[in-house]
Amino acid sequence: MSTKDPSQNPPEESNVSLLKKDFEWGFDGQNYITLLPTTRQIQQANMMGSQGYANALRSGVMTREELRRAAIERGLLTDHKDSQDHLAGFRNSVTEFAEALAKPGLTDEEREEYAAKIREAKGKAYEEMVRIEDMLSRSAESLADEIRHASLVAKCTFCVDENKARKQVWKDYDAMVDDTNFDLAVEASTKLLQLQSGNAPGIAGSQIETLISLLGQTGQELTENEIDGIDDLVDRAVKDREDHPVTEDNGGGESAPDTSGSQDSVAGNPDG
Amino acid sequence: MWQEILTGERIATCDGIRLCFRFPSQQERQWCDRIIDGIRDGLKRSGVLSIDEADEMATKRGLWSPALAEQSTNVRNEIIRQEQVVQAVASKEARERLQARIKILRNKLVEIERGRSSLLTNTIEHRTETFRSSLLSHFCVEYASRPGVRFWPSVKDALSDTRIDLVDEIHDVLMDFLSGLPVAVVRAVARNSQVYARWMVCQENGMAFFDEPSSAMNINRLHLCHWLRYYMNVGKNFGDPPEGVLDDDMQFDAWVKGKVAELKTGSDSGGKDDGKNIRTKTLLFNRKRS
Repeated sequence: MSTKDPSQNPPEESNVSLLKKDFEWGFDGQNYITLLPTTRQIQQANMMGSQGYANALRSGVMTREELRRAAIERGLLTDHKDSQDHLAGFRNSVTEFAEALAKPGLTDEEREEYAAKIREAKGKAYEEMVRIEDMLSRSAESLADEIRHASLVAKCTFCVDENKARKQVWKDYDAMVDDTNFDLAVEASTKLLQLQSGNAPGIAGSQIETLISLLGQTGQELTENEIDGIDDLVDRAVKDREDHPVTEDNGGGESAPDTSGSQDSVAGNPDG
Repeated sequence: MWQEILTGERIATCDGIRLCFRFPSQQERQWCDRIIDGIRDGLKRSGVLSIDEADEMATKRGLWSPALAEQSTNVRNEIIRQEQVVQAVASKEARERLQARIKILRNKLVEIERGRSSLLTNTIEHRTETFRSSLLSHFCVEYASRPGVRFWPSVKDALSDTRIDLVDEIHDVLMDFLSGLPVAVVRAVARNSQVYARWMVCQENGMAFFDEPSSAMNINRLHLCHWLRYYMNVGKNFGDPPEGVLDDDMQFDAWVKGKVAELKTGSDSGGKDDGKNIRTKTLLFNRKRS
């Protein structure tokens, strides 16, 4: 039974859904933990993605829109609207056959025939989606997304020793890309995606492929280091804010000094 | 909305939590600006595109052009115009028709800007503004039920939160709040008889309308003062507009424009300048600056 006084918690917080904040897992006899990224880590990863995006464009990589236009010109892809209509057509077929299948009085042969048609229409819709996504996945946007994701994997993955002490596996993004242990990176990527998506494994597949492609190909060339000096700058700003709170005396409108941080929101995050 | 302007606060519920959003003080804003300046320099050194570079690159690649820019501006203006009309329309059916039209216009805007939207998302300006909202959220978000108690007690807390959906929702509300109420709403508040009466009492007695210097006023208060003065000047110069015109911003502006043109024609044809023209010129000058 909990002895915690409920009045100690802000009443508003009771409505917030509890998120799973970490994910413990094992790989090659070693224990690891993946933590949900913080706002700061996400923003820094976005900045790295933007750096990679700019470098990709300067290196001549096409944007998603340019690739789409080029694919349409070569007849590899229909216009966006046509493509959507095409997909909608497959989906309508699935619905139509499913309704037919639900009708009473069908023979076994008829039932089997409709089921086969549904499978076929579903398969075609899936193939069409994969074809389009695959075609557009070599864009500058996709590369930026991969860098963003890989940067978060590096920041959020920790190994855990027998005393439950945590140590970041990769110092930063560059260290992860330099690491030859691809399998561990891919596993860490999966775990982060599962944690972020509430353990929905469906999303993980395509992202893992892009991570593999990033580790093996162009990622490192597209980013240099962690964005120049930003980490230090934010650290200094946070410290400055703690050392010199803006108070009513100097016009900030606050009545009390700033606290060093509530334990709830930083607990368990070594980076926090 | 008058309440939001009067208190300088907005109450909103984010992921089930009732929060109070307030404007940052000058000092808080300056503190954020200093950090953002440093981040901007870092991003620049790292080769991240500026908006100008992104536009130049998009133009070179055939993803953007002056013609598309013009189309985009026109559609944006049309959206703003339609949104103002929605505010003034009383009939539910008419409002729904207008909202459907606005939706179509928004889709059109997305289609026009599709080529360069990802370039803009990856610019220095976009990234720094997103970071600014994280920093400001520490200062500007409090529990609605506990005035003065910050949702994130420190910057470190604001930056360490892992509840990304909640954080995004709070940032969206905060940015919307800080960008100020729509013009149509502020004008409607300025036309409110009680608000206008308070304003006139202050004007006639040399009293401050808000109990703070103009340098400390938030954007809503500044806009409200501007529109109150506009309506007051128009009233002094041209009298009351015809029935029903005052509450329709477009009709009212057209009516004022007509009155100004009449005055100008009179002046051009050698009419005596009795000082009314000077006041009108002042009024128009102020309007252009808004």
